Amino acid sequence: MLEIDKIDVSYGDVQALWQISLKVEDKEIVALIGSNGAGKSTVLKSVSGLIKPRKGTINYDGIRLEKQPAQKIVEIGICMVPEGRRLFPDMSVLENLELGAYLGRSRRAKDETLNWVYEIFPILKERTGQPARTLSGGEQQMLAIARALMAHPKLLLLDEISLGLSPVLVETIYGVIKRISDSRRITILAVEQNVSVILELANRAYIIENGRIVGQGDAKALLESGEVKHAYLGITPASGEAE
Amino acid sequence: MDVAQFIIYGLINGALYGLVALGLALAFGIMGYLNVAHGDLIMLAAYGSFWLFKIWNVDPFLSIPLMMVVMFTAGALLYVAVFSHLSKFIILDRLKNSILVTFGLIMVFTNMATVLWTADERCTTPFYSGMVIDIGGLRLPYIGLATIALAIVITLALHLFLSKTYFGKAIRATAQDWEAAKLMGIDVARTYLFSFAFAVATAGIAGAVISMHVVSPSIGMDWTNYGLILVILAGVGNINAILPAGLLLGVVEAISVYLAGVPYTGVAGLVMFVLVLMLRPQGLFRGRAAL
Repeated sequence: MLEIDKIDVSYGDVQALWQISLKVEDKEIVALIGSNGAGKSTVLKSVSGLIKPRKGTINYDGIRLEKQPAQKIVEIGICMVPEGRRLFPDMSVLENLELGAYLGRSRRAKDETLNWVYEIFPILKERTGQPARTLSGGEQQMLAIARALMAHPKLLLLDEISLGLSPVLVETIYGVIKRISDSRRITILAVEQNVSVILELANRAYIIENGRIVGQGDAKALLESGEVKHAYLGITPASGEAE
Repeated sequence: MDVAQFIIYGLINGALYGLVALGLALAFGIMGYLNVAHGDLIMLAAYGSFWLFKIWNVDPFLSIPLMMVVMFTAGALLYVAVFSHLSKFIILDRLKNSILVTFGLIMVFTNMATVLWTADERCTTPFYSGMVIDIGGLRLPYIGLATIALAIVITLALHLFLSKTYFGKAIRATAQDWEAAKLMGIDVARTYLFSFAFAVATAGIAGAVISMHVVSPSIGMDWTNYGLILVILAGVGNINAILPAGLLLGVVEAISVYLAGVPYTGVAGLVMFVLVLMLRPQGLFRGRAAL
């Protein structure tokens, strides 16, 4: 179980997160929604160790993540699909996948895992020798997800994986995520601007605004709530619900 | 003298330029550190080979493994003491700060060498120096042939290391996106430490060869200049193209000497440098990046 407790995060003098607390139970899919610049990605970066909180704690199965270096966090079983994919552009699809399985256990199981991710995303097998930069946007996103799966994550952090993809592709990719999460019992914490898609999929969600958690609840309930519909889905509430 | 003979000397010089530029290209391509003191590290390594020859009669080529270990250690210490502190900066700031820092190191290294070993020019003279193979009137010096062979072997070995081993791939990944590399579980700090130390270790290879030409405390900057020209000709980060770029520069230099005379030796390289920066700043050999 992941438990973030009252973290403050700053970039230099600029504070990005204030007293953020959230929980993700095992096998759960939790969404973190909010507008641009609200601090969603910063939460994920704090969990994956790319930035360290100034205050507060991040606990995962009894391990204090804020005290671990990023590579240790991967070893613990927490992997992130970063915003903008962040592939290694001049390396082949295969090399990108191999790097996903860089550490100990996953490196030994590399060939087996490779077959598994090629089954999930057959197009990557066809593109195996191509440099990552020559893939289409959708293929690149599939590679970014596949690369994270190569490490056999217990907790997968997804940062805006729908960005720049067609609606059909977004459905497909989240369909795959759902299947993986069910079959492999992977816990997911997803940051997403495509609120309707992620709330359909998630068990619970947190709403973050200006670096603070301003709401939380059951994902389906939030999807139905007038506030979320109005603020994030651009749907004007029916006359009875108007403020 | 025949133009073919000039071209052979050009290729020999070019192979040496390639060895000189390797460390500079690695540190710049992987970490964004422009180590203008690389030529001075080569100078120090050349003194190492010189003294090994002078005191224990160690052949300069055989001194390479030992000097690589010494320079690797020196590089690791230098990284921990100085360069690790630059890694927190964005690439552009790393570049600016590393130039400033390494200019300071040039002062330290040059003056240290002058105090320790005087400003005299020296060189190692193994029994085969000056010996040549004569093929149809073309003179192929032993040392030159060995230099070309050495440069080819080192370049190939480095290419295989970077493209076939897991750690080599981690180095390339770190060069392309160090933050994403962290997310793969790659220990970026350790990768940087190794890469920088290895880049400095290559000064041990170039230094051994240069000890057979001429060593003095002031040779560093000239070799750094050659290194910089090659990094630009090859394209930043394109390690595989360093040796071809070196051979090209060597041949162009040789032909310009043939046509215009010895005083113009350095001009050819600098003209190429300026032209490439103006017309093809991504480098002459930019195809698929090596790093």
